[in-house]
Amino acid sequence: MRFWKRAAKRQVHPLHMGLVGRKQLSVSLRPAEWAELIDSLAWQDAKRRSAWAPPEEARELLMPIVRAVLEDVPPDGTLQVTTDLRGLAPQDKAGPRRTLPAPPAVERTEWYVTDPWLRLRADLRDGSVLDLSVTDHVRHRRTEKRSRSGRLKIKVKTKGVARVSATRTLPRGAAVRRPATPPPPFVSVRVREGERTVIRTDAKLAVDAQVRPTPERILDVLTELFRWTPPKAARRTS
Amino acid sequence: MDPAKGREEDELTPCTVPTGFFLLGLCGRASVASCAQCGRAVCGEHQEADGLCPECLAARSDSPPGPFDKGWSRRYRRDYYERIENVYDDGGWYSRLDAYDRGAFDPGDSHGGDDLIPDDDTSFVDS
Ligand SMILES: [Zn+2]
Ligand SMILES: [Zn+2]
Repeated sequence: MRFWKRAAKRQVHPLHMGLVGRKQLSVSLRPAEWAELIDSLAWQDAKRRSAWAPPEEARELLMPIVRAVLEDVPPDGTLQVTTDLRGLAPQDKAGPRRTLPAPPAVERTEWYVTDPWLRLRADLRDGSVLDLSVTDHVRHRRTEKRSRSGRLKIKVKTKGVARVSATRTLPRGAAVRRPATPPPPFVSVRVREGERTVIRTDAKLAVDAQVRPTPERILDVLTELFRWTPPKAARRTS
Repeated sequence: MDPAKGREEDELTPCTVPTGFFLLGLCGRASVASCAQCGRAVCGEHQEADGLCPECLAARSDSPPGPFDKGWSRRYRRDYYERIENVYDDGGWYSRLDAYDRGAFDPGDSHGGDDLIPDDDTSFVDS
């Protein structure tokens, strides 16, 4: 009984509360601090019916990206994440509406919603710095049609892209080598060689109001940044 | 978790559990035992249930862990490296992981892995 009581007193991590309550998070933490937050989320995720259950987006979208990147952050490095997982609905994300030409009795308006839902910066263990941003741009077209009987029909169509941009700034003096194969067609890459070489990759992924890019697709884009440097030797030295 | 087993190991043998996601490496901490299945040297932090290393434990479990669970990254990394080989049509990508991780997911080829260079060696080799 005593143990049960003690377990019940365990505190929900303050950042966990923000992620559940506002679906937002803006932090710069070391891996050990991230582990505390993830631990708190895991604890509530394992419960059936919990007021502090992590939102679906945190579980399926944010966590895979954060956890993959965290594996490459050294104990004294930081992973900075600013995320807004509320989706496209909040009004502050919508641009101005404009009226499109339409036949009589039809009203057509168009607006764009811009959702910069993820910014991430990580110190990596080879001394490079990773920056990632993902922004969904979704066009909305709303058609209002009044039928002869006076009934109003409303239809909203959405179509858009998620822009994924990432850079990896290499440590001073580190060299790059062009990979043996080009990236897949949806990924573009540019390399600016210098004292600190910067590899940049961009991709546009198709999305709409219901479909967001998957974390796997985002990690696919990030991969190009790591193909330009040879892996650390993992072979026999003799 | 058997201390007697730990003493049999060379104190200086580094742990050869693969670490990292894009930037692969080996743990490199002093090992305390060897994995009961693949035989690789493991440190105290990487010693899992049944005397297994985390790779062998991940390969054994049928139900994949959730994204908040401890063993998640390892399983996800394996799937990721397999996928990338197709997405990028880059045969060299999967072998990057394979070079760090012989054994666990392929019991027919179980190396101890003590010929690998641990994390504290920062040299990059252009092979
Ligand atoms: Zn093993
Ligand atoms: Zn270890």
